[in-house]
Formats: sequence, structure tokens, C-alpha cells
Amino acid sequence: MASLAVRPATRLSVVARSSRMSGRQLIPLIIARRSLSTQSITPAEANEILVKQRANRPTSPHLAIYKPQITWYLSGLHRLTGVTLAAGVYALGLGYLFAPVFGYSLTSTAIASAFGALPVALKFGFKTLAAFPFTFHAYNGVRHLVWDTASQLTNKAVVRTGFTVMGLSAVTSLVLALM
Amino acid sequence: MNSCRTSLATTSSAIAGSVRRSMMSSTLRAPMVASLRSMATATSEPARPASTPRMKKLKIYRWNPDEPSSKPYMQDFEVDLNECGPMMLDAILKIKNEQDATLTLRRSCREGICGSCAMNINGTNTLACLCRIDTDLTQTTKVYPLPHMFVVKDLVPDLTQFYKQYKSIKPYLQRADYPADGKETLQSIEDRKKLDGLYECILCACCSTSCPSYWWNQSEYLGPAILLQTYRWLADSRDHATEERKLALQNSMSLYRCHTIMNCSRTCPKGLNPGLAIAKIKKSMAL
Repeated sequence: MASLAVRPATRLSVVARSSRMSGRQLIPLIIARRSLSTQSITPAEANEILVKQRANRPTSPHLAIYKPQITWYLSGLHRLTGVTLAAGVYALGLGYLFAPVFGYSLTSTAIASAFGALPVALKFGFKTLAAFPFTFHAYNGVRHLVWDTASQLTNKAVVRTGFTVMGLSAVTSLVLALM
Repeated sequence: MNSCRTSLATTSSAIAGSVRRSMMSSTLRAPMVASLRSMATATSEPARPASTPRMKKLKIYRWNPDEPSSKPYMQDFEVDLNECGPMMLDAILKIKNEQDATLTLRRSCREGICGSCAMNINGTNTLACLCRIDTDLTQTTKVYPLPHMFVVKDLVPDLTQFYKQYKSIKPYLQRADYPADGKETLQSIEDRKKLDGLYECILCACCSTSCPSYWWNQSEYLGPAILLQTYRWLADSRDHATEERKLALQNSMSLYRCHTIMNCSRTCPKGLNPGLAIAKIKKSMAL
């Protein structure tokens, strides 16, 4: 065992020959002098290296690799449906304002008669597409209002209320589309 | 020297048993430990009798700052689970010890109290030392650094901004007067209970880097970890800087970039609830 007592000062590295460790088999092999060398640099030089490195650092992957979870997926859907609804309002409003300039009419009666001429399946499809963003955004908005009172904010409650909002908005938008 | 902690523990106890006490003088002991550390690499003793190897596939994110022109890539590794500890940190350190010593990561305590080994494993942020290896051998486990952070090397993200943000909230007791007897500032048992679930945070940055809002607004939004700590000082009955602390949050970015996405609470490896703490701050700011 005496040979084990290699002082760090002698700069020798020791490895065991066998992968099994027992007192007897611990026959150390003195391989070689550690040949690592270091060079000292001034703080200014160190900073220069750091600045150079920082300029090249990549950003680690995020959206594409993060696990799909109801938390951030529903948050994204809330943002998307909000943008969709706002875009719809702006499109209809501006369309109503500027349609006469181009010789079209976008009054409610004109839209209703054009819509009435569509096949039933297409009507149902359009209505569902229009109803879902509204119902989801409304129900999820209520969910956010509840959260703002600092309640229903446990991991379990977030999942439960998330699926409740999904279910409610699916059913409600289907009912609205069937009307 | 980076050695697999579990294997180090088993080998050193085995050695201690075989060496007679009389030989273990204090002068001998220190260098022996030093040499044992270097040997732990080659001698990770199998936990069970060698049977058919259970090879687990891992894909690990690699990027080397010494080759700045080359792009980050995913490197494949295989680890025999029969020869490895149960946690992801064991597997990664085993790879570092036996297959590729250049694989770079932060780690220290291996028991979920230092927060160093925070990384993205199988899509969610967690501490590698608290994350069990998925024993389904058909699945490949993917390991990335914490999302949307500048990468120093491999699995090491640059947390400079994160620590600066922590400093900016003045995370220490602020009050004008202290008890005349010069002893500690007391609080009631009820007031102390308000700090439970807040003080346990180890600032591993798992929650902040799971937050899409923090991804897009990292330069100005404080993020869940720092806001949890802000609330820890707001909730402390001994702290008298409540109004100043709230005033510092009274802008559109610091606090209100939180959109209650709740990835933070979902991913916290310590089971804390930063989302709830932020909601409580918002509530106290409004009412």
C-alpha cells in the first residue's frame, strides 16, 4: 500500500490495472509525468477572450425541442385565437368601409345571402371555424380571470381547467355551428 | 477530476474495508483519496452480476467554443444501464469518464441542492441528478442545455444575465431599524410559514428557461425564478422595503410579461410554484 501514497507534489498519476477493486489488486501503474502546461494571462487578455467567445455563442434550442404540454400549448392557442378574432374584426370592418369603393357590397344581408347559397357541409365547416376561436378565447379568458385571483394555480388545477376549457369550447362551438 | 459519484462511493468503501486501520495514517489518507478519484473512472463496479448489457441510447447537444465556425450538433452515445447509476447525471458522467472527456457540463452536489446540473432532458427542464434515466431501451433520451440561453460549451449555458437580474431585485433584508438588543429580527410562526415554498428555491433557472415569455424578452422580463424570489422578500414580515420593491416592478416588462403560461411550476425540480407567487405579486400590485 505504500506505493499508493503518491503525493500530489510528485506529479504522478496513478491508475489501477484491473477494473475490479480489491486491496490486493490495487497495483498502481505509474504512467507518465503530467504534461499539462498553463500560461498566465492578464485580466485584460482574459476579458478579450471572453468577449470574443460571447460574440460566437449560439442560442440553445427552445420552441422546437420543448416538450408539448397543455400549459404552453393552450397559452399559444389563446394568443392565436385572440389574433384571429382581432384580424376578423378588422377585416370585416375595413372591408365594410372600403367595399363600395371597389363596387362590392359587404352588408349583413349580402353576406347572409351569399352564405345561404353554400352547401350544408361547407356552412357547418365555416361556422365551426368561426365559432371555435371565439368560444375558446372566451372560456380561456374566464380561466385567466380566475387565475388573476391567485386561485386554481396548482399543476393539477392548471391541467384540469385546461381540459375543461377545451371540452367546453369544443361542445359550444359545435352547438353554435349547428344553429 | 470528474468521477461518477456513485461508483466512487462504492469503491472507496470497498477499499476502506480492505485496508487495515493502522495503515490509514492521516498523511496517507489524503493522497489515497486523490488517487482513488482518478481510479474511479476505470473501476465502476457493476451494481448487479453482469448479465446481458442494457444499452440506453442518448443524444447530447454539443458545441465547442474553440471551433466557433462549426454549428452545434447532436452526438449519439450509448450507456449500459447495468453499469450505471439510476440518474441522468450518472449516465452523463459515465459518458464523460469513459467515452468522451470533452463533454462539458456543470454539476456539484448530485442531490438536487446546488442547482448546477439544470438542463433540458427529454424536452423538459430539470436537474440531471434528480431525473431518473428512462429505462425504456427503445427510446432515445435527448439532452439539451437550458432552452434559449447562450451556450458557453455543450450543456453549459451563460447565466450572467440571470444572476444580474437576481442581483437587481436586492435579495436581502432591508429595514431601517434593527432590534435594540442586537439580536436577530424576530417574526411570528405564522409569518415564518408564509416563506415556505419560497425560500427553498435553489436558483437552478429551470423555470425561467422553460418560460416562452422569458425566451422572447429575457433582456427585460425578470422571469419566474427571480419573481419568486421577489415575492419571497415581499412576503417577509421582517422586510420593510415592500413599497420600493413593488415600485421597481411597476412597468410593462419586469413583471407583466408573465402571461400565466405555467411552464414554470410544471417544470420546477423542487416542486415549487413560481406561477402562483407571480399571481400573488400581481394581485398585491392591483389591490
